[in-house]
Amino acid sequence: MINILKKWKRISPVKGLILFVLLFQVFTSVSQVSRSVYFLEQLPSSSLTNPAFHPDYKLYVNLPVVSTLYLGFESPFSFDQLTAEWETGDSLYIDRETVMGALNERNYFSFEIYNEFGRIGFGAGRHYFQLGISKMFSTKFAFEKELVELFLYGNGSQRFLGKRIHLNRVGLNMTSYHEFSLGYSYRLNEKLTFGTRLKYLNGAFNVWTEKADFQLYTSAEPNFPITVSSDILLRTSSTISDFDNMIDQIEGYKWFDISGNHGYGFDLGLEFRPEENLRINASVVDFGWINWKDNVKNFVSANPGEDFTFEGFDINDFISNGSFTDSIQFLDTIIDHFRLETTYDSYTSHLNPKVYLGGMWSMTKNNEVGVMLRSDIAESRVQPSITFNYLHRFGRVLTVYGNYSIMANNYANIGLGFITKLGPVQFYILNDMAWALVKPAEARNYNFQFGVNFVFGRSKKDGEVQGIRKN
Amino acid sequence: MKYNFIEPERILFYLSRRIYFRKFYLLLCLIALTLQYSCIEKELDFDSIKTQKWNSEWAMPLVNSTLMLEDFLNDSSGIINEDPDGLITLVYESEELVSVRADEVAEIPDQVNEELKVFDLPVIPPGISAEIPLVFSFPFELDEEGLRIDSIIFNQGSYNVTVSTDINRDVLDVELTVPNFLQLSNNEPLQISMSLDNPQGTTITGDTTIDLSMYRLVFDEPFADTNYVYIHALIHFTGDDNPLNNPYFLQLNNDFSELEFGKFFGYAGERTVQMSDTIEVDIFNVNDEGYFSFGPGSVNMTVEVENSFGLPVILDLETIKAYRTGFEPDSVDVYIFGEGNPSLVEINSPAPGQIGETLNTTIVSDNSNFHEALEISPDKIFVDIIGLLNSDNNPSISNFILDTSKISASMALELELFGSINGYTIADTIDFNIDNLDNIESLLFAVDIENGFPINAVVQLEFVDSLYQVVHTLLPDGEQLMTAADVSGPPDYRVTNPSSKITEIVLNKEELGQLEEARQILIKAVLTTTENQVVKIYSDYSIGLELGAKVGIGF
Repeated sequence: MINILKKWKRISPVKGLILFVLLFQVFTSVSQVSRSVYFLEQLPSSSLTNPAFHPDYKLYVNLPVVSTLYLGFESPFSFDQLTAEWETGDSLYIDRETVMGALNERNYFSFEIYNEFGRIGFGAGRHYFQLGISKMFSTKFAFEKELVELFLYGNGSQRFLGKRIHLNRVGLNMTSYHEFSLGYSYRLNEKLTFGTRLKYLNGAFNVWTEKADFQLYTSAEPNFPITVSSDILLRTSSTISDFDNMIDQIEGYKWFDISGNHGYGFDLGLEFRPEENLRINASVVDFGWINWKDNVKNFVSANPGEDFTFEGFDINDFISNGSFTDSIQFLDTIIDHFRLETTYDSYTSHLNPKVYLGGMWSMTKNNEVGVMLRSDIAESRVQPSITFNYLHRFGRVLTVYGNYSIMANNYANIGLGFITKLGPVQFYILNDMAWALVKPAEARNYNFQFGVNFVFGRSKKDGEVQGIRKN
Repeated sequence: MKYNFIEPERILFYLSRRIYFRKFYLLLCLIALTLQYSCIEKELDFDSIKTQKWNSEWAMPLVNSTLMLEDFLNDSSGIINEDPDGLITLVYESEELVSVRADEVAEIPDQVNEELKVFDLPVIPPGISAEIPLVFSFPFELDEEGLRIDSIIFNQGSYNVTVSTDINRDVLDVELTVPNFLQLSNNEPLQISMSLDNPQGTTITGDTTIDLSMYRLVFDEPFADTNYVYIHALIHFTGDDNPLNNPYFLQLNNDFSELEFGKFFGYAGERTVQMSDTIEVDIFNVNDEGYFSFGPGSVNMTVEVENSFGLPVILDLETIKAYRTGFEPDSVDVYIFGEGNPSLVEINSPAPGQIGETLNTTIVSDNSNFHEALEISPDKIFVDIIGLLNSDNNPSISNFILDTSKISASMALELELFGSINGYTIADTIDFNIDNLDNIESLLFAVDIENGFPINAVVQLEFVDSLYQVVHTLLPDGEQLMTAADVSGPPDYRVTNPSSKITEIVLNKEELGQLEEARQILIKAVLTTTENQVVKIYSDYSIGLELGAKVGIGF
């Protein structure tokens, strides 16, 4: 992707739009782990979706470098939805009608990386303990359909002339933090297991648009006077000084720097087995917050919500003694009106909690189907999604699965993946959107997770629930 | 339960038994990952995005101004005056025509004079004193014949007198009295004494220098000889044993230098001086064709003259010319009192009782042909004034001149904005160079003008290339960008209703391409009053100008 970007020496406005899309696809968040992992209880990582899950092994260890790595992005539209083929067939153009059709009133570009530094888990009877250290980077840019409409059609189109544009859902939330977790699950009986995970969070950096309210009104009068207001509260806690080389600066953060930005979180979950071949699970993960104290800079509008109307330059201000003036005082007035004042108060940001509700039914010893409802709660909004999963085990060596998800009005999400276990080495590659590999131009979302676990001592025996011997 | 996936399971089971199973599997994964990236790069062919089928339209306000008359004339050298009703008058003034200074009229040249008297000494016993009076006189000359000095008070000047004699007496004094030079402090004549004791009998010399700024030179009675200076010399000597060598002489060398008067009384003679200047009428600078037709009584020219010379002065205003420069130069002679009428004007001069005062004379042209002259839209008015001093050449009269005396004249052309405008065309050229319009598909300018002036404006902008070939004409021929406001009848001719007009100027892609070839813009505006109607321009007239643009951008 970076290589593609580097080719763009000369950024045209169209390419700028695509760059904008890609930037937020690559460098911006949602789920921390693949949806598929929810159905793969033999993977230690599955406990990330439900702390009540007991891995299949008495002991497992994830080591740095080969531990779990998750990448995921979501886009409100696909490359195909962004472009259409020109009549000549040799080039493409931005098809704004299709783009507008693909967008919801509120849209997101998000990107997330979850990388485990290490994890260890072990069972002791009905108890299972897990310790993990991981790093999370997520970024999410939210925008309204009207913003794109404004960009594609312009304020001078009939759609906007004489109409007030009100954008209050545009914002960037970019954060990176370390997570130190202690998980514990307990099998109460053959049917019920519950678990929790407590987390200490240490924030690396954060950029959070707490408020961004813009209003724009272009009058249909002949000289098109423009009235603008803004109300911005942008919070940052970072050493990123500017946006010119932001990526380099983000990369400049060491993998394991501990800061004074402390936070806490917890997950809760339970698993219920009403039948031997049926599991019903419910969990809530990522409840938590971080209090940002280091390198805090908040930018707040000096004149929040105050209208500023520009009706044109006064010629007498613009021209002096028959020539154009070098500086136009009016521009200073604009800059002053929309000035952002800087404060240095600490602030608290919250994680985006997720609620899982699902069930798995073992049709046979090696065939299993499942369904999972997941709701992402972000910024007072709930984004529901549903996944249907089929899993087949080729003995103990290989497990493959396929699933289908509906998320954010996107229906083309077919997930494929496998887990293989060779001796104590468990290797897996998962994704929820394999179609993106086949037809990336049609993909709006993509994620990918792989990892290597070292597992020891399978604790389950046939007809046995871990920790509880079947009578 | 039956398995539906026996076949693949068997295959994998078989492979798992092979010793290279792990290598094969890892290789498979690597190939899959590599193919994935290659596939994405191929599918997402950003370079093939060439163009688009739509334009976004961006609207923005550019200008919102209320323009008063002074905004259009702020670069003008004219002064905007308004009468109590607000009627505007433009006043163009000349520089002050400082024509005649005192030193140009009367100058006191340096004077050098040598006078010698021969006489005999009487025989007197030793120890007895005696006196011999002698009278010297010489002319105090001015630079021309016929001039007369009655009196002069000097600002500066020196009088150096050298006395020589061969009188061989042990005790000898010479006393000089100059009755023409009176001390300013006590009105006593200038007196000089010097001791010339000369027992040897050789020629002895004595000299002294007098600062004349402390004296007044007078040629009045009783020294009635005009311009003659008299010196009374009195030789005091005492009889002794020295031989008597009659005849003896006494010589005076008089040197008057660096003479500058503060006041001159007398007759300064007949003089002719010339004053000239140009009035810049830059309101007509940009005129290409057409003209203003000023209403009756709306053009006035006044000449203000100030005089502090105490002598008769007549000004001749014969040469005044309205001149139009540029590609089609033209000129018209202006007769300030009407063609064929004398152009001589006698100006006021201070009387002897008004020494030091400056008297004004205002010359008003109320019968000139300036109206005609202005119809060529002159941008310059040339003025030549000849000043005639003592033109009667009557030496019997008395003049007075102070060192500060001067005659100055200034001219003002007053144009009351009352009249009609007849195709008055303003033309100008500005450099123009624009490129990078590739992404601009269309451009719309919306001009909304509320015209409070009773003037129509037809505007055209022609874009020309480096060879002055017109590559694009912005507006349709005859497009009236501004329509005249309605006016009332006489005598006020005041606007009753401003006029509004919205004009849209649209440029398509092809026309924008033409602009890229342009290097200059020829701007032409033709101003007229409706049907040559007579109007007046008041100070409260204004033009409300609103300009907005809508740009169609394609990427």
